[in-house]
Amino acid sequence: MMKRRQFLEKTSAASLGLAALGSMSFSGWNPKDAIIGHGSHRYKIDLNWGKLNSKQFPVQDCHEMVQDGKGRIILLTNHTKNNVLIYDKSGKLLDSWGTDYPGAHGLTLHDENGTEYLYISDNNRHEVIKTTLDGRVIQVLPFPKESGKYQKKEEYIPTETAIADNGDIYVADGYGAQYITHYDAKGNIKNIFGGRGEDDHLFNNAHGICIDKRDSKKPILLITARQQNKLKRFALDGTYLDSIDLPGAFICRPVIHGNHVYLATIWSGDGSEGTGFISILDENNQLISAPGGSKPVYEQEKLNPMHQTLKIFRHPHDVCVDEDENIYVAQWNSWASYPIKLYRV
Amino acid sequence: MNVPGLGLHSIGFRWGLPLLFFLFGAVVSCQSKKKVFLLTDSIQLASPKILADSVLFREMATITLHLEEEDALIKYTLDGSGVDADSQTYSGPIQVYHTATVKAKAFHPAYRTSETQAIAVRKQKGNLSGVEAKLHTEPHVNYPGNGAASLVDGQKGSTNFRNGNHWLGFQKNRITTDLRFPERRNVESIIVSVLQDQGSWIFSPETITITVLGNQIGTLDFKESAQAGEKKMLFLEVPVTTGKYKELTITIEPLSEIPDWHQGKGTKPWVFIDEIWAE
Repeated sequence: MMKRRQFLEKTSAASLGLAALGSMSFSGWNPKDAIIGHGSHRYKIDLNWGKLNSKQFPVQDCHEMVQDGKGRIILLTNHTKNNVLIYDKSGKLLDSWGTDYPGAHGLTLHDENGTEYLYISDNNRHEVIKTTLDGRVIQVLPFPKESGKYQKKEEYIPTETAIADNGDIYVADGYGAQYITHYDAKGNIKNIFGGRGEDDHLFNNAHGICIDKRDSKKPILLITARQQNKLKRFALDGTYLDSIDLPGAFICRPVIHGNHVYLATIWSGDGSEGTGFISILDENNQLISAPGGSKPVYEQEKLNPMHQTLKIFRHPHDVCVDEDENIYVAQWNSWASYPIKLYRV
Repeated sequence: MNVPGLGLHSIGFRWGLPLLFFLFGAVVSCQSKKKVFLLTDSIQLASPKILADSVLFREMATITLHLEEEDALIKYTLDGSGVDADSQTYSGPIQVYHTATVKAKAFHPAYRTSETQAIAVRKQKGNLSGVEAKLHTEPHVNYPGNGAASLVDGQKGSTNFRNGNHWLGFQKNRITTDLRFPERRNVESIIVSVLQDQGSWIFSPETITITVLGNQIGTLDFKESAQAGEKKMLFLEVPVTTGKYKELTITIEPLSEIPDWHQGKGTKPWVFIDEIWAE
């Protein structure tokens, strides 16, 4: 991978004329290809990836994507003709299923002793559904009434799940009462924390959650507070640790790949329509690249407010990063467009 | 006209490109299936951000323009005229001493020129002291501001309407408030400062009428309110029959319903107001 990247960089640095000639025979390289992002994380853009016949395989909002152990890219959309579309990395459709998830929003994949399962957070059904990769329902987690925080299911609008190595399930109620419900693998409630508010340990739009195992001795939770432009860190027992400030970046869910955190950023600046970009944090949780967004600049350890600079993305809602470090971008409310693929250069 | 997310132009942009690629792809597909990457000249710059330390000021406002994209240049005007390649290049904060419309556009050697971004900054004239507002329509329980006093405190809200206690939000058929002066004052116009944030279902009002003891002394029909537009604050100026007045009644009528092009079509739009004053 590194070798290919270095070669491409050299090609681009060489005389433009030569590079242009070379491009015709070398994987479509063109000196006018846009390269977005900053520093070590820069990308070319393929708008056509995954595009399908919308009559046959329609999408509405493309909410989230994950990659399974076979390398397949699994997309969740709230179109009930096919809630799940399964692609290969080139964008070819391999399979589709799902008609029962009108509020399909969150998609998490968990490897349980060698078998992979999906967890779908459904906004409209007010519940989380565990399925096999081919769509067979294994478990349904209804609204957590016994927690005492909810009177009726409508108060609970789960947006995302995170699954720990021991099978514990964390559900973020990002569009509801903003609690994080912690279950054991069987679905018994062990804990509930968070809730709506402006304090450090509370949330305004607890939209995405993941388990951060970059420090293998001390796994923690990363939870987005999207309206607060913060990524909050919690211990697995729900104790608040600290927050990572990303002013101007309305981050949807954290996705960890290697030592980096990737976050689809649905809006930026003042939160206007169509102002999204992608955020990439390094191992120190510093924003180092923002494809489609402004160059991240820290002054006195504070990030200058972020904003969109290029009109490529409208509303990125999730990213999936593959083993080549290419990024697949699923978008909400973007005229039912299919995902965009970014190729790392 | 910059209409992020909603304008026809943006739709054409997003769908025009794939069409272009399809045509191009058809030409090369006979050789091999190649990835076709997005070209720089197919990408438009986002509009510059315009920040004002105060969009409603007594003495001076300081305006800054931002677009942190390498090699991008921002050009601007202060007189409301269109921005082109020959307009003034932005190099640092701009001081404004008079009511102005700031327009800005970004240019780049590789990417397409941005849409225009504009804001109005207004020098607040007239005597604000001792003015009282009396609301006949209660704001929504979620957006009460500091009640009627918020409307006459000279403190503007920002485009982020959830911040501070400046904005009063209404979802009503009609909003009525009185404006009372401690003594009879000469009035030429009434200015109502409102928010347009259509993504949050907040629309500017359609009509504002000023009456004194039941007699209409001025009205404004704001045609733009039903059109798709970017998030911005507006000063709606209603000229009135010039005269000395002690008390005026301001009646604000929202659009009867959200227009068809919006996902909230058919429902009642929100109206957000932060200041009302007389000049």
